[in-house]
Amino acid sequence: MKESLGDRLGWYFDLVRFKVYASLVAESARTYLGFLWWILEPIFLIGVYYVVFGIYLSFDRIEFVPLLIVGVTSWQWVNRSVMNSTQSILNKANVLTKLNINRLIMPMTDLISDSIKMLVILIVVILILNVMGYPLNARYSYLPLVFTAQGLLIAALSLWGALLVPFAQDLRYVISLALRALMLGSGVFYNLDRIPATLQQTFLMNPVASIIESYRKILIYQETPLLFHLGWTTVTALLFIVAAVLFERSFRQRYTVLLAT
Amino acid sequence: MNAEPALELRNVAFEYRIGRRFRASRRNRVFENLSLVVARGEKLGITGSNGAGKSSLLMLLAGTLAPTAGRIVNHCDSTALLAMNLGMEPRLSGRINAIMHGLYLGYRREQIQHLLPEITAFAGLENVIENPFYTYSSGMRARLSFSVACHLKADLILIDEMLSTGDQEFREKSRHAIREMLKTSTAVIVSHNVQVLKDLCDRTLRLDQGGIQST
Repeated sequence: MKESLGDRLGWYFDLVRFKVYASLVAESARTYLGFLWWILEPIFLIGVYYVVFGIYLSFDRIEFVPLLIVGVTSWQWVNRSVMNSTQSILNKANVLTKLNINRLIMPMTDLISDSIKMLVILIVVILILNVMGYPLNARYSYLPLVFTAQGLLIAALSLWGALLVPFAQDLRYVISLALRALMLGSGVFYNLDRIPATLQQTFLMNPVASIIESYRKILIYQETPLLFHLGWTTVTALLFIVAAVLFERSFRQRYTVLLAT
Repeated sequence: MNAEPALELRNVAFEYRIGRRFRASRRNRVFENLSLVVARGEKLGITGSNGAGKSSLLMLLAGTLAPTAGRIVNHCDSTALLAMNLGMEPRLSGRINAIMHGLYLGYRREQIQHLLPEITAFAGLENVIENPFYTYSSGMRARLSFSVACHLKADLILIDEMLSTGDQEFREKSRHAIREMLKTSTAVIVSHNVQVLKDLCDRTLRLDQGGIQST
């Protein structure tokens, strides 16, 4: 009996689930502090940015610290996942040259591992904000929506990063530079109030900026997130994901040659 | 052996573009007009010098590459390419690596979990299976990888250079295991070792200069 679509999907599910588990275990095994680094890394970054922006540059607004916590942690997810994805197909050359499997499995697995980390970090952020006097509120019900929109946006960026870098590894540098520009232009260290009113809509056309602003609205200001922007981001990201799937299908065998040579 | 075909190659040509650009113009032709029928249940050996295209042929049969011209018709329900050390991660235990390797080869999670004690015993690694993979010698790694692969069931089995694994004792054991594994399957086996191919296969082809040179 030929292998059915259900069997194939079941196998993909088993493979992705186990790969995610294995990659998390491998990551923690590489360092002495293991999973603690998930929390320590953003805390360290927040500390550095706080010293630079909060103390040296006197960004002295009362909510600067929570604003920074939310900005840095949500940005870290974008940055880490997109940069990881640029190597995810290349790193698995020995598997992908031998098996006729969807190449997108590799960046997707990395993305799921990073999303699990982000979920843990988000819980820690919520606890810290509660201690700082920003309580749980009814707007938290929008959090899964923001998380999903961000996950889909990262998936779209990561899949395309993973697919294009094997053709020209120079793109890694381009992506790295683009991410730095995106960080500065997405309000990681400042919020929407800092942008002149006439430019705010333009600023929010950047999907990362609207996602960070949405997190802040929920977690700090107890307001409704930017639903229109989140919807727009979700739809656009889904279109890019579908395009990535079609691209992979058309070029699947070309990757075997690229990775083998 | 049955005369019904399991696999047919009809005037297959394969070439690839050299370079990373989308439209790289230089091409390397690997074979031309390759025609071949493998009968159901037949064990076909492929040998040839380095660069003759043996591994490319297996990749074409496994579907990871597509022929530039001609057609490959696979009549088998399931195909597995047995390869060594797929996605092995040195920091993880032998057990996790064995499961990962098995999943890559096409096992379902519960199948590989179920077979794991047998696989571990066959590889002779019962006492060290929970140790990190980086503590294994290259022979131990190959034994584990081979043991996972040789428990696989598929109608068409493609084997690429994995018959010289481990020490003499393990090589004999593994040859016996391969023979058992191939009893009910069709197989295409690539190796430089003509003696091994003669031992395991019904016929052997020599691939060279873009085509079949001798049988």
